[in-house]
Amino acid sequence: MKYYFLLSISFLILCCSCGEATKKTYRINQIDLTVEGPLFDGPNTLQATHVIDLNAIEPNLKADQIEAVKLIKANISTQDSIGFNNIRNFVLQLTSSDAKMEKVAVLNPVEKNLKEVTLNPSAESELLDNFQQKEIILILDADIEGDSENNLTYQGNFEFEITYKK
Amino acid sequence: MKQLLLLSLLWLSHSIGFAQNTEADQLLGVWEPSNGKARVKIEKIGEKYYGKIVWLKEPIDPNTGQPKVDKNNPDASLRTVPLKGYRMLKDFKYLGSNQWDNGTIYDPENGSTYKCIIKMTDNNTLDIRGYIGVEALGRTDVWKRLNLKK
Repeated sequence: MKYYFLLSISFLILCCSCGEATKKTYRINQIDLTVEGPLFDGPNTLQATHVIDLNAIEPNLKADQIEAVKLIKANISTQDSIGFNNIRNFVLQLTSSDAKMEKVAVLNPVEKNLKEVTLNPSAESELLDNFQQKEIILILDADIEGDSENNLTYQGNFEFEITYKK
Repeated sequence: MKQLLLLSLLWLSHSIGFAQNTEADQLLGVWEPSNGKARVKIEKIGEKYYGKIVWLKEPIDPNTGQPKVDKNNPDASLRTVPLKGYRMLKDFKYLGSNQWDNGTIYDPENGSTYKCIIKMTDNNTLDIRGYIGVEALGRTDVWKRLNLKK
């Protein structure tokens, strides 16, 4: 009798801990990444802060239900008439106050005569720690040819694959 | 009297916070490791400190004739990241007493990342200690500030 009772309890605990894992896409659309001039030849750091909206993934989702986060798409665009003709390469990183900085995507070299580019996402970067914070900082290093007095703003569109337990 | 006391307390806490920030920001600047192969600019992003390579003694890879990239990165999808601009020091927080901790240092020559602690021994000198596991099992390199402060 005792044996069956223990077995039932173990089964119950097992069922409770094995929630169904669900995957959804989380998007950050048309966010402005900016850096103040003057800018010097070489890598310059554009930044944007984004407040994570877990309700956009699933109503009432809690940060501790998230199991894995991967960047799956990173697009950078510009309204500037010269496009990205003065950019040698882009490197994208993510960080937040209590999580490590992760390098998540790169494009090297950047082709000429384009106003929108897609960066190649890292196959291994894990962003779970960053998504368990309230906000993330997106850091885009743009390797600029020549100096410039002006500020620089690019628009970013990002997609993340979120795996979470219901 | 009560108001005066409150004001004094506010001023004191503000001053302490300001002093702490100023002390922590002493780390900002351009530094050169002992091998002289690179120069690293330390910046602040949020409340943490990061160091990126801004100058390389040999910026061109003799095998490709192109600017050097992070060819030893264990993540193959990131091996085209250029070394110039690479953040080799990441996520340092100021502990007080001229020490910054909780960060990592990346060695592009072997693609390894180590835990790291930074100690400022004087205004122009840093002891950068990289280690695996415990601090005692590590190696210290001495970095010098490029534009010396008096």
